[in-house]
Amino acid sequence: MTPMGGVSAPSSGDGPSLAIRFWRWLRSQRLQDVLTGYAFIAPAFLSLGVWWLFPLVYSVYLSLTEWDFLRPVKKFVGLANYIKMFSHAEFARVLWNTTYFSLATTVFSLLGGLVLALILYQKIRGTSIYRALIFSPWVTPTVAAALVWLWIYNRDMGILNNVLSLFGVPRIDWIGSGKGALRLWAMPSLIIFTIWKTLGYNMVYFMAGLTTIPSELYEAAEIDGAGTWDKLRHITLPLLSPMTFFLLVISLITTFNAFDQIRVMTRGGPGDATRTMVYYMYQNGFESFKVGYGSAVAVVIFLILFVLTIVQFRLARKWVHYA
Amino acid sequence: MATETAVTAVKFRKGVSGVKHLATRALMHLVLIISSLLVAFPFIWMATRSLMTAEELKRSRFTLIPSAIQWSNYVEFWHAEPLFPRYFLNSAIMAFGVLILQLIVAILAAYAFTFVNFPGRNVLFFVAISTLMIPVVITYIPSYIILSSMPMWLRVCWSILLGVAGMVAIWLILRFLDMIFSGLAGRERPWASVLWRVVLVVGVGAVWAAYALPALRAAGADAPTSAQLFTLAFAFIVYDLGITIAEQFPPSTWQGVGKALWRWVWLLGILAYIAYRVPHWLGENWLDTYQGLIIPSAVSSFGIFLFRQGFMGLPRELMDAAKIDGADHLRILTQIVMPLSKPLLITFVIFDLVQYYSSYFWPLLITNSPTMRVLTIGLQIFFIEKGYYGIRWHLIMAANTAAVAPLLILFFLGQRWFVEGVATTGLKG
Repeated sequence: MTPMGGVSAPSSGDGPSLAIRFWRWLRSQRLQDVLTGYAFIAPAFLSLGVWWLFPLVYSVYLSLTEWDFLRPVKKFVGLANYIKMFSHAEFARVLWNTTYFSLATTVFSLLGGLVLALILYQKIRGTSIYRALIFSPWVTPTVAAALVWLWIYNRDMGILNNVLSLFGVPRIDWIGSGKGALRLWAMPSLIIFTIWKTLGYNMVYFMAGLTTIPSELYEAAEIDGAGTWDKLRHITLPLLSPMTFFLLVISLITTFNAFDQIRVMTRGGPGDATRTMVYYMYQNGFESFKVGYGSAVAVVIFLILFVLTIVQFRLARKWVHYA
Repeated sequence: MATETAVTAVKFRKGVSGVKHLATRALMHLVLIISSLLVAFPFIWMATRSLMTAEELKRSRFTLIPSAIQWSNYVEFWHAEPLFPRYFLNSAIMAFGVLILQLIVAILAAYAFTFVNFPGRNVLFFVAISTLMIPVVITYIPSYIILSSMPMWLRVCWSILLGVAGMVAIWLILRFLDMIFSGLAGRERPWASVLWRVVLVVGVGAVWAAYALPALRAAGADAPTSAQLFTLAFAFIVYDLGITIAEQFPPSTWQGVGKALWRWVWLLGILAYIAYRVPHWLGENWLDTYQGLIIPSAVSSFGIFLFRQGFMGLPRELMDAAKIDGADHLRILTQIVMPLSKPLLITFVIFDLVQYYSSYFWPLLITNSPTMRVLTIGLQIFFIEKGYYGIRWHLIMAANTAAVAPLLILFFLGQRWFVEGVATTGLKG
């Protein structure tokens, strides 16, 4: 593709006048392209720089200080924040909570989405209704949905305990911040909520992934005597693996960053039973105003997610089959 | 022989599985019905509970239908928290504001990355995409600090961006009107697009002269913001008229010069004035303001990625043909690329609106005053202050239903768009 008009130095002598030649250079495709290119990406890069790249660097810097938003001078303390973080059991608990929440939600939400997608893929009547119903939680604000579930989980009046008590199960304080609350149930309650919220999303993506599998493969397998389970193991799952990988990465990142439901339903409690890393950062940075320590937590979150994603991409080479 | 056996085997399997088929189909239906009911249940519960009285709420354990429908609950929660309409407005402003900015920023960048050859293009794209690895939480504390005292140069930059967004909005309206009027006049009357613009300029000019001009004359740069904004809008309309007139002349070097001169003088003038005044209006402290809610989310790397994927799938021949005809990039973008990208646009719009209507963490961090709260925060505060511990659950359910209803209704009406949009973004990625 030849650029229109080229970039050439105007020379004296015969031919079009200098002015016109200068004008033509100004209007040349090359110059237009360069100017337009940079102009078009400028807003994006300005915003990326100010609100993403600079904050990343600034967070690292802040994590090396001790500050409370008010004092004019930030006290430089080197790695003290990180040392404090890793030497207390508090952070170990936070790390465990986050891992537990993230893994449990991801595994069950993906599994459930896959199963439902496989069923719906059989072209049952009423597919779009089922799909709409199961997907609908994703459309609602997490906060609103969490408030409804608070009511469902309510120990004395919630429907969950009402139903369970029919079977003789004692009333459980699911979200428990009341007297004698069992810390045991707070995290599973949050996990169930998050699975409920994300199930439809995974299901829809899996359904889209299933449509990319050519049906001739199934027919060929059937002729070779493959049963349902064999077809699943040797055709469906391998060919679905790019989608599975994509959803796995997205789900881990999203659950890692979960905040709304924790703040609304448990506020990290009871005690520290549901305090995840993001909530821990919020508490330190914006409730206790320990800006330095909060930034250190944020940096650790970034590093963990970064390493996790890279590890996932490396492992993907082993199990993801691209058709 | 072999084929005979194979065919018999298939027939046999089909025959046997005919019976198995019925059982499995029934089982699958059962699983689906149970799953979808379980998933939809919380909403149904919320809606029915919102129509009960407080006592009935406490008494009834399993009743699905209220004994007497209490529409009054919806009125009552309105009274209990008169700021609810304001919360809803704030959420709408935030969602649409972020959406418009993100669209402009992402589409411009994606277009440049796809169709414009400039040095460093691939490296810069890689940098843009790599920011997807940055979790948003790590940007919160620094963003908060930046917002608390925005340096002048940053305010100027965003004023210009907001100015561009405003001009795009007006330009879209003018294009839309153009479609109507030029359509009415027909192709044989290309001057119709000039005619209606002249009428518009005269009309708007009269209004401007009557209301805005006196204010400007009296106070100059200190005139009320609305007068200054109206002046800028009027200036843009005049600019557009000039461009349309210039396009009526046959393309020649001098026509090009005239048009370019007119364009640059007007646009730079408008932008310069915006850069001069708008930072003043926005103030130094962006905490607890609309611009604080919206601006930090102005760029979406995911949006850039998405639109670039979409643009790369468009036929190149159209672009090349337009370039030979002498179209500049802006024209190609608006008249060729955008009309072809409607499905992508709709998907992105839906994603963004759902995401930012539900936004909670960021508004929580930077808004303080009751009038700046968004809906999600309003709901949660209402829950804690006015309805906690089972005193007024029925009001909470009513408020919740009202908050959730708009999105749910839109979703069920256009669920095919939603679901298919969600699926197609993942397939290519």
